[in-house]
Amino acid sequence: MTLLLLAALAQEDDLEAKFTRSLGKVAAAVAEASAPSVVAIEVDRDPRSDGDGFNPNQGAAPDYYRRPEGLVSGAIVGADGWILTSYFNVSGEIRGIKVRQDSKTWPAKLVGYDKPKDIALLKIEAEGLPVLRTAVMEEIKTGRTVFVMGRSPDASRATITDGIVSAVHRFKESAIQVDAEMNFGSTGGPCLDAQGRLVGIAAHINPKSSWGQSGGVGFVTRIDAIEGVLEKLKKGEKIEKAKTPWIGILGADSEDPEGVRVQEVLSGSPAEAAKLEADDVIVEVDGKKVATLAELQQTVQGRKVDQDVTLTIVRKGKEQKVKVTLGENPNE
Amino acid sequence: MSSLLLLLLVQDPDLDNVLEYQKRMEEFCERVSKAYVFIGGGSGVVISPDGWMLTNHHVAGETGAEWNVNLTGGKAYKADVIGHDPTGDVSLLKIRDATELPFLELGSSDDLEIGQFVVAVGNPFGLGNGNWDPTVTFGVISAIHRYQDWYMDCIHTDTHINPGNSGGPLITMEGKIIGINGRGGFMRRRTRVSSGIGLAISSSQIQRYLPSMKAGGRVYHGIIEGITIAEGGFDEYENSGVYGEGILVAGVDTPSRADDAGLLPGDILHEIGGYPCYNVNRYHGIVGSHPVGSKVKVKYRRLEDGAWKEHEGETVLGDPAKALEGEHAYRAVLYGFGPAYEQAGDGIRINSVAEKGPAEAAGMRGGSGRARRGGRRANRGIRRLRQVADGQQAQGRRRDEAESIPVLSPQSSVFSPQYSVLGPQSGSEGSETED
Repeated sequence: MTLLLLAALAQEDDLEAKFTRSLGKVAAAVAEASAPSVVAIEVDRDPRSDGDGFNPNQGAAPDYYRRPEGLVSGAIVGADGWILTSYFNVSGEIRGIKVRQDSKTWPAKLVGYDKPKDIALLKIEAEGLPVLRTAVMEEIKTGRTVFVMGRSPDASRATITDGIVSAVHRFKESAIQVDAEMNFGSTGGPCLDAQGRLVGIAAHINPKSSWGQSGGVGFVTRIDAIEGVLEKLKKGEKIEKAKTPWIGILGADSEDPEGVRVQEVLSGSPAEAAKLEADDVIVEVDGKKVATLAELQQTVQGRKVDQDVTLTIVRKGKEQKVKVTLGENPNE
Repeated sequence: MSSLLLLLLVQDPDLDNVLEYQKRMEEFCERVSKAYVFIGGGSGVVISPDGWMLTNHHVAGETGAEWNVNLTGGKAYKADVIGHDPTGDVSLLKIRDATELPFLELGSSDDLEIGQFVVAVGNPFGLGNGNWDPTVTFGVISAIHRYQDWYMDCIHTDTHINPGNSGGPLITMEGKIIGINGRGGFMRRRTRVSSGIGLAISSSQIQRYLPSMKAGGRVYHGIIEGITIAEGGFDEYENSGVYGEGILVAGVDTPSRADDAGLLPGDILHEIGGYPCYNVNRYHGIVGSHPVGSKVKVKYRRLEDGAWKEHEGETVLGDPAKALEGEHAYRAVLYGFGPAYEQAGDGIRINSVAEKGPAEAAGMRGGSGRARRGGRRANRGIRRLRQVADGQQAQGRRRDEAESIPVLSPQSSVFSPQYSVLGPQSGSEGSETED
């Protein structure tokens, strides 16, 4: 028995050693296979308008409050010249955008963007470009090995950093968090899994405060969230503001029954239209249990405005079902 | 071409290794995250199914404080601070009405290996507030037994630790807590972001205080009373061949706790409580990470008939507060600064001062400022200490300003008890101006 246990332990440690040995080789394989799909982006911006988060009149400000000069990154998602990057990279008064890779340079057009997701779509005139495969996002969990690639500061050399998925519920379920180093230059580049599949786009760099440089806290807009808006962006849509679905209650965790106790039904809200009342306890959404306010919020954030949901509520000890049409949260 | 690459990737044994480990890592992250606690602007971790929980003192504060906490996923509880250790930056809480909570055990931080994998679970920048999804970061142990100001025996890791990670666990891949993250090396002025230097209070230190903290109230860190130590300055010592393996015992009061251990001036103290003691910082690290009243073995070498011979003894760690009395009084100058000072030029830099100690009473404050060598400012520090000693009102001083007093080396006058009348802390009231 002891021997078996020892053997099991040895095997465990062996796996860690194997991982340590193999990680670098896998990173090298991912870098080599994916680099052709990673581009550098050169943005010619009116310096008086430095884009979101920067004060244009900051001539005398310390340099870490200003947008660094130099190339940023992007990922090829369409063989016919579609390139994703971070919206932040192309915000401000843009005079021109060039996409560069090795010795090649293409003029690029900003076609559409989704500001809340921090995503922009560029188009270059090209064909037969190498496109990244996409990861299976339902499988994404905290702890997964990820790589972030970029092409800055040198358009002819791709960069790669490694890390793990740190958290999966970020930016209203549209982003994940990774601890791979990510700086201004790598923003807009692809985040890849160990198989070199596209997990998302490095985004949401914070220019205002302290997150502008990597502190092991980086965000990646999920590729499935991007795919949901990609066709719109291709048609030139510019999404300025997220439509946040809501029910319109103030609530608190309830122990008995387990769920969310309605404290107040906000006027003009979907909850009011559905005749929810204070003291109702929401226990299920579409048949799925919600034990806490956070769970309820997460579930609702995962739905869309105008979508119908069926709430199971407990009112005066009796369970009943209520249909609610989700509205747009006017406060966000 | 791309399909060929794909094929190569799929058949890669290295990839298999990474994917297999990744699977284990994902299960591991899920398991350890369940014991994580969101508390205030920081983090905590459950250490028993009935709800004992650890965090930083700078997160949860003192005994009696009441907190609303949330587990991963959002389940809300009330928790009370049962014990606290302001010196060690740890608070122990009990989650109310808790049964069968997911928890993690404390491991032994002394057994860590440099380079070993660890993860930190935390709430950097409050990112998990509301969605109750904590952040897991992954890295290695960079060093153990680090001495950083009041973090006397801490673990240094390159796992990203950011503001909000405070109080959260540092965990081995076996799922054992080996530290409570509390500090980080942040990059530049005004950019409070991880630079890959994270510091965690070691589990070995915490475990020594845990029984007292569970009993309730504040815990205190010990000192060896009656000893004066030095790292260098004596030729015999520096040329002894044992320099760097131990520290020089420069003075021993009789009678005293140091005397009880059999120590004599000129001895090389090289082991305390089973830990190698190789420099002055580590001396303070070992002694300062043990509670008052701990019985510790000391091992030392003594030059006898031209050869270094091994000796050992035992002492009971004293209370810095009591060191203010009697013939050890002059040492209160040292104790008043706590162990958190370092030699800098001809002076010492005071990184922090002990709570209610004479240095605090004199209005001195620790800080991150540059050390000042001797000079007027240092003399003012000494003068204020003397004013306190003489029962005079001390002048106010700005907080967070480093002070230095000159010369704490074996040649110095501190070896003769020139501050012999450090009396009651009469200056402690109104000695401080906030500006």
